Amino acid sequence: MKNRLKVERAILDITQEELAKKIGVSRQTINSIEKSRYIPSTVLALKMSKLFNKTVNDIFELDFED
Amino acid sequence: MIMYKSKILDCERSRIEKMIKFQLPNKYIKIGIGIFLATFISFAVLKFTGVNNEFIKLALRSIMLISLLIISISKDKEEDEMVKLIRVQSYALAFMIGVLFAVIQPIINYLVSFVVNTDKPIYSNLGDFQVLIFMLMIQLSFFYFIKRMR
Repeated sequence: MKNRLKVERAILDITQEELAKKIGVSRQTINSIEKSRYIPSTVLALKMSKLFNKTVNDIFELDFED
Repeated sequence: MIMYKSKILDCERSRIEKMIKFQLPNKYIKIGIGIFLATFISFAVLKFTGVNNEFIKLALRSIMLISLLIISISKDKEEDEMVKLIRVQSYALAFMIGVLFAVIQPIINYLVSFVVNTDKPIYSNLGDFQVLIFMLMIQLSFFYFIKRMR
């Protein structure tokens, strides 16, 4: 699963820590998602979608491995 | 009647969910570590003083297991969904390695005693304390190891 989380975060100009606080997770979780080491739950993906004002498909994209 | 059954099922489901989700607050990690260290020191004192009281040993073993269980079921500082997943993975790993340990370790012990004491090799099963403490140690090690790796 690929994601544009880092780009979206840069657009909003917020740090991993700030994003983590806004959606109620730890900074390590945000870091793991950005590095594609952790795939977030639907709830978390929807929270990000709401925050970035983008659809989930705009933020996350299926990889050829998925 | 059907309505009654579904209510019972819902009640059972919510009770099981409560049990699955049960966790102690984060401060209990420190309490667990404190109790664990105290029992560890007590074991060392017993060993050096040469006191061989089975009741004290049994009590200390039980307290040590409970202290590790307290650490194991206490919430992390930031218990989010990734930490929950890591926790589940660490329990699964601990269970699998624990079963293998319980099966393989007595065989290794037997082979070693066969080499050391060829005329009368000893076969002995592991005790519940050894298996449980091994599983808890493996769970905690993997939990913190996987968490750091992420």
